[in-house]
Amino acid sequence: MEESQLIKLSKQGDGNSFNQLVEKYQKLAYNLAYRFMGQAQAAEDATQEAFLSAWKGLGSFRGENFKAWLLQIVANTCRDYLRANRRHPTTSYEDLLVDPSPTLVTNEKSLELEESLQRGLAQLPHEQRLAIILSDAIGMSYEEIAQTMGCNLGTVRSRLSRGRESLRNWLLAHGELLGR
Amino acid sequence: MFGFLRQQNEKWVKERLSLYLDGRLDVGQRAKVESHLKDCLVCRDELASLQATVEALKKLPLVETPRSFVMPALKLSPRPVTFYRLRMATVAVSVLLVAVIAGDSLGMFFRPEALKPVMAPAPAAMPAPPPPAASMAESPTAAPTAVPAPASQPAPVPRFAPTPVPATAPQAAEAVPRLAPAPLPTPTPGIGAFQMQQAPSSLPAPLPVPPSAGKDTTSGDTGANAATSAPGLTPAEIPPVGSAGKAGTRAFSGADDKAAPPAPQPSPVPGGQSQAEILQPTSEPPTPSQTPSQTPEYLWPVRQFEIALVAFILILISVTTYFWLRGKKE
Repeated sequence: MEESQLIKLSKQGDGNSFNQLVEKYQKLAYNLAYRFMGQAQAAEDATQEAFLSAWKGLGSFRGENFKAWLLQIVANTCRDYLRANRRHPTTSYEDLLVDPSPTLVTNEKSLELEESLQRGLAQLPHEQRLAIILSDAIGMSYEEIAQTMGCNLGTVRSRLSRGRESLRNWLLAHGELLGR
Repeated sequence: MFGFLRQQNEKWVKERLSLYLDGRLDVGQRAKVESHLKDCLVCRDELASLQATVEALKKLPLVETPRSFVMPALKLSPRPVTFYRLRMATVAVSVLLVAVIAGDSLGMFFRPEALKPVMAPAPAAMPAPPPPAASMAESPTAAPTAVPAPASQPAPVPRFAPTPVPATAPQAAEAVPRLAPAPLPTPTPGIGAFQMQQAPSSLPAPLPVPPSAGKDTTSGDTGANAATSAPGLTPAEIPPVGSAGKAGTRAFSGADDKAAPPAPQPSPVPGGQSQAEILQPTSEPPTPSQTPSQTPEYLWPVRQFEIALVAFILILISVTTYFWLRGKKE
């Protein structure tokens, strides 16, 4: 069944259709949450909460790009989670960043680089971090990023350029930019 | 100068390195960047480090989800749609109720013909043009000759039974027609009478004042006004002559502030008709102020509709609350 049909049925209250959309986008949503927050458990909670929010707010979906709309909800949920965690920290931010990806268990060098990138991303402002993750880690186009972030293309270019530069400088400063 | 331009160019290129990597520059900008990169070692270095960063980011693997985020059937009950529609319905009916109440209070639902008697009663209650001679005393135009009636007085009633009780404002106003002494023979009015005749500007000519009134006025009192203004009382109710001036003064001032009754004193009436006869109670058409207010008819049963809307809103709120509590429990 096509995505538009699934969305239409979901808006009419069909939970099975919405679950098909969940299956289609859950990996993307979880990866965004994981890269944005840096901790597996927090990303899992945020992803589940985001899907629930999407189900509740599906009636207000008027756009054409369901993926951008869904990832915007995920990003907002992650931001709210981080803000709440900053006000009431239960774990240190360093703890949030040393959670290794389950797939990187064999390559020690790749694991180090991933941890370095994750630490570097954590230093960036939310908007720059989100732009970099959407562009480079998830592979979205500038147009999709603009839809997801709710801004224009110029803002996307600016955030992406400044974010990459800041991340590059951070990695260079910590001697962790490998492969040069 | 050359160094400044080179710095500006280098800054311009550095700002576009990220876009250059993504291939988001147009042909001209791309050529300019590439031209600069050939000559600038610093910018080439920047580009290499930036490219390494982006490549490292792109090499980040997509992490497998720790579990499926497919939601169980309980969470996917049709509650959101039902709840949303119920809320919208409640809001819509509430807005409708407010609109109906507002329209009702503004009188938008009355029958147009039901408003006519209320809106234009005055012409029907206007007295007919007075007969020439004896009815001058009853004419509304003659009324202000004796007492300067306030402008806000209602249309006068030609004949009205006097009451000995202290008059209220309407009663004082209604006494005005009685006070007009019709064709009285005395051509030399007293000062008080003259002043009273000058007061209404609509009077065509000063009316004559009876001799008794002239006497009273010559006594230096405005009692002439009162003396001629209360002809309807019986002689037993007439106060002593010595007190007539004071009573008349009180009556005059009372007529001004619409509170005190006019001083009783009989005055001659032409045609051999006593004032008591003239002022007999008659069945006169009510003045507009006395017209019983009619309850306007509605175009449709507005009250019943409002009650039904309130009941419907209460039902909607109850059902919405039920769904909300059920969803919260789930």
